[in-house]
Amino acid sequence: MAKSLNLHKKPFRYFIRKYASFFGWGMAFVFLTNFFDVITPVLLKQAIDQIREKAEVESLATTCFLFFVCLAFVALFRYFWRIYFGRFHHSVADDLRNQIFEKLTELSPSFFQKKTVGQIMSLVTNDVNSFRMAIGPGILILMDGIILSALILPIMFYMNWQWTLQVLILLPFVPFVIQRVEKLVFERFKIQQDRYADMSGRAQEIISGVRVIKGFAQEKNQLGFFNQKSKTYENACNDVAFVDSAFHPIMEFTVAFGSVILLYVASPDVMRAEVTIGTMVAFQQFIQRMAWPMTAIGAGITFIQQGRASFKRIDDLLLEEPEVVDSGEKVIKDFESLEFHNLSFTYPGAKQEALKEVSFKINRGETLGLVGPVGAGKSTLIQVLTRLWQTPSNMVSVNGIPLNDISLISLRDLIAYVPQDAFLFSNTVADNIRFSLKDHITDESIKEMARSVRIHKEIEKVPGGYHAMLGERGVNLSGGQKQRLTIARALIKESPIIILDDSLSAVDSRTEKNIVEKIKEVSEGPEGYEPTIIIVSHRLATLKHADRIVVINDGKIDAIGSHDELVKQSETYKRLDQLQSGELPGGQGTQETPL
Amino acid sequence: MKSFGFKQLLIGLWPYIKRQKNLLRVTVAAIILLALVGRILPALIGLAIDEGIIKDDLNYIVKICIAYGVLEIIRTLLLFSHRFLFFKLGNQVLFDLRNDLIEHVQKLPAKYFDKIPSGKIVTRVTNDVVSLGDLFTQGLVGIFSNALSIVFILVAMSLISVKLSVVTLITAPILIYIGISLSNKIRSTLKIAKRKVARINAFIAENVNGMKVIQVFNRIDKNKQYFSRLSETYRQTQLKAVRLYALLWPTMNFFNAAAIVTAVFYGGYLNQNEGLKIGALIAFIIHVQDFVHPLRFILEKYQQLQNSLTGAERIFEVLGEPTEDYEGLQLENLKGHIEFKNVSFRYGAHLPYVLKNMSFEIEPGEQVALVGRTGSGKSTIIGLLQRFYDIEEGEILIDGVNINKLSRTDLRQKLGVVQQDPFMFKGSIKDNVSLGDQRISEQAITKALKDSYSDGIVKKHGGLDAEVKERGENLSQGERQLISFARILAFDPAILVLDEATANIDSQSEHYIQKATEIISKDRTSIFIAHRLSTIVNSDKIIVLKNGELIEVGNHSELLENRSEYFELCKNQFNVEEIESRLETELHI
Repeated sequence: MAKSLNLHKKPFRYFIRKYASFFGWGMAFVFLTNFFDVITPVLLKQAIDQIREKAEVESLATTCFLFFVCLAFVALFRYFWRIYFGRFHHSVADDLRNQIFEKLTELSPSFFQKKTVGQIMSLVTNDVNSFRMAIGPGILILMDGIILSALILPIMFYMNWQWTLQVLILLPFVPFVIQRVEKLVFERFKIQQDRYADMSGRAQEIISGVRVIKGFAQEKNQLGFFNQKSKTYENACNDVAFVDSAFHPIMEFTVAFGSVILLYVASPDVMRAEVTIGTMVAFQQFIQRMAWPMTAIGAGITFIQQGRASFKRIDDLLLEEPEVVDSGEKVIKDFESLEFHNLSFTYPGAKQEALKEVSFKINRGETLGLVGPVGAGKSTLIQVLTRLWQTPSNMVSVNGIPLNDISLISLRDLIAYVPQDAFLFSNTVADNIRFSLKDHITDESIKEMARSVRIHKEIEKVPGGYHAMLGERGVNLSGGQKQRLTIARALIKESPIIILDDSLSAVDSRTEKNIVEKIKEVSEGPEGYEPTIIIVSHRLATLKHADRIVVINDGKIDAIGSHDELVKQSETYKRLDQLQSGELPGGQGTQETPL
Repeated sequence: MKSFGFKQLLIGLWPYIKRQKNLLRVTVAAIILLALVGRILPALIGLAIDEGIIKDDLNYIVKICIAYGVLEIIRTLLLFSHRFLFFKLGNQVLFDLRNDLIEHVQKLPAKYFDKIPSGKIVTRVTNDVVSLGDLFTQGLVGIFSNALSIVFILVAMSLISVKLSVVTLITAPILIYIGISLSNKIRSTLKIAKRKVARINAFIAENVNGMKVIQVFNRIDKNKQYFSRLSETYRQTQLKAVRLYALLWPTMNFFNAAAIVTAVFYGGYLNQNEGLKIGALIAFIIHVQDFVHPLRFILEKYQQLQNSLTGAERIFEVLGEPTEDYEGLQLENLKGHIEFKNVSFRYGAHLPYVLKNMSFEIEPGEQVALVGRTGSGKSTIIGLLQRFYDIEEGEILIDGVNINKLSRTDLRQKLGVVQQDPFMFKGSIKDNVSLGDQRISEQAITKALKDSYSDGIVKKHGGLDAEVKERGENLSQGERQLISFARILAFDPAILVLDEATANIDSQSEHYIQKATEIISKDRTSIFIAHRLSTIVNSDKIIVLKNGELIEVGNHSELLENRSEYFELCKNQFNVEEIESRLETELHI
């Protein structure tokens, strides 16, 4: 635990320690590279002086050879520094990505309602990348700049301290300039980003609503609105470009102006032969090298700041407390009964209770219908049961054992769940049916299951059959086909509890009826397998097969009983019944035309 | 297909750049001047040594210093202005490009939007344009100005000594060869890396969307393993890119070393034997040092930017998509007579027919209900009436004129459609009624809202300017439907098409919707995709569809007597006597 505390407070140190050897070697090579780089002007000075003094060819050759060797070392060490630093920061990124993903798998639906998919993707790619740039290139160039100036300055002072002081006179202003400009860039960049988001939003609206725009012939107007946003964005871009373009010239100027000063102050000394031309050239070289640390330190700090901001966002996610704690250890072998005892449930952060004192019991082999208007708490009940939320203690039990005492894996093994939206993964058809990874699932049993839910023939028709990929780049299935696959995916688990969470709302009532019959049929498969079925629906016709129907309204149980009993007992049920008789079948779909 | 390169990019962008002629001229001038000044500065140092220091002429040195100082200031200004001007030029070009993109996209046929998800199209207009901007400012301009620097450096070196230049740069072709082959490898590696990020993103998106299923099916560990494999292979690819980059740099350094050492050694020889001045030699060395930087920039950027070209390519692909044709007749005083004559339609050449040989007629002012199961062709009929799709078989006549001869703009203005889940724009309630059309006054908006029983919604959400969030998510479906009714009243089309909402309507809205439906359909030819008994019972004509075919036409009681498809549809859901009795009571009231 001490380790992870460190991560949240001092992420840089945490990762540097974790990948210490990559980082250490990287730093060592940065030092060596700079060391040899700093020697080269000295050797250049020697060579020039030798030329001036008309020295022997041999001695000039020796200097040139040394000069070459130094430069070759610089090249070699630079190679290694990149390799080791690369390993360092890419490992950090990999590490972080995995931590984020692990955290995502622990979180409850509420989190995914709060954050859009785009935001989470951006966290895993953009923010991780920005942190990587901070801990890798950011620290690297910062250290590079510091080491380089720490090596150059003493040499310059040693060679000629008077010159050094005069030549570098503008240097102390550099940090101020950097700070000022950076702040400006940051502010303006933020404005630019905001306006970009604004403009993108407008584009998004126009494109998503293109049928309405076309339908009302509003193209010109909309273009005008977009262009307003586009223009303000353009202005913001120009504002950024202005400071951004000014940054480097100013930086370079402060250093390059040193060359003019050098020429001015050094020339008389050289003329009086107090110092050699070589020394002057070496100085010129050092001045040029000093330009880099100035920019490097600024750039490094920017990287690190951006990385910090990104890490903050990542850390917010990593610190997110999982709602559901897997503390139970009990394993359920044979399911007998499921019971709700006065279950009340409030969503975290919500004021009103979503479920109020719900009590009922289901026994093995029973088929239970769950009905109620939109927002009555049906899905909440299912989500509490599957422990997508933390269940209040002792309010739900399986075989008399409180839900929280059962291990999550064991509990979820009991349940075959068909969600409301027919969500499939971009895998093959077979992999989607095999999703639960139970050992008993074979290629043969997959086909058999597909036959049972009446999709086998349709799969065979698709190019690739069971190996056809689903999803954006693969086969597109119709809503009904997807639905049947999600049913196959659940039923093939052979779990003792089957839950249909309003999963049939996308199909018309006749198809729905077929599917329910199918489930009953399938569930009578292997011997001794008598599953408990919970069907959530707002369509009463679906629930005709249920042994009992639970009517929920406003989070409370309104009534429990058979259809005929309920019509008499429950106002809610009666209203639903009447309302639905006023509705024609097949009304829901508009699937023949997308959009 | 021809690959899209910098040349194609330039050709595509040229019309936009051309519009900014003056800006372009000034910028190019700044780049040339900058390269020139960059070469004069080292020459000045050389001159100061040869003519000043060696000849003991302090005055000369002072002059050089002043010249140097002035040039350094000019250089700084040029450095700034060439960058800024190019950004400005680029931003103007991008603005024009975005304008054309949106204008073009709005004219694309519905088929295009069926095929390509809206998110992707948005990316073209926003993201891809930004990366094209980088391509333009960093890529084209960067490469141009750096190439120019190299040319100037070569000239400056040759002016000092051609012999020395040739000897010094003798290894340059090898370097360039190695550089190009390395950066080609980098490019393909980066491409792979990009693909791997996309896979990571796709996996994340899918897992986030399906997290409930993953958790309930105990799939967490398996997916974690899979993710960590994805992440690891991405890391490996990145490391490969790191290695290649790591090689590219030292290669450059090594060349630099060889060139400088050669320059010093051979320069020293020339100094002693052929009178090459020491100052000139020093200037030469500075030139050589400056040679590597632009070369590296070009090699690195050129290949890097090749990968961003795909984004730019996609932009021009979008601009090349054929648009709908907006020419055609305008119908004055549209009466609202609609006739389908043997219309058959399918969404693509290889797809099954969704409408088969369909014929029916709707008289002006008639209220018609379209009834049928999912997939029977109801929505397609609407799409055809709006000319989102053009038919090839059969004819649709509006007031007796073939629909293909009508102007789409005019037709759509006269045909108001309310979708089942109406699209709401982010903005205000007001904007959602008028869609920002200036011709619709605020009074008209208020009246439309009132007449469509939506004033309650306005009040509840805080006035006409109340915020409507993206896709109208802060409004209930019933509220969205009512506001779109107001939209119809505000635009006052001659023909109304209404796809009734079914699911998730609260009873309050339900009540208002029923009343408002009567108002908006009054005195208009109205077509309902009907799900509600009241609509069906009251309509003049019911058209029953099944699998794209017209099964029967008639009013409610006629159709019930037919004991055919309509009867079956009703029977399936509710008991017939009840309907018949209800019909009787309703008709007698």
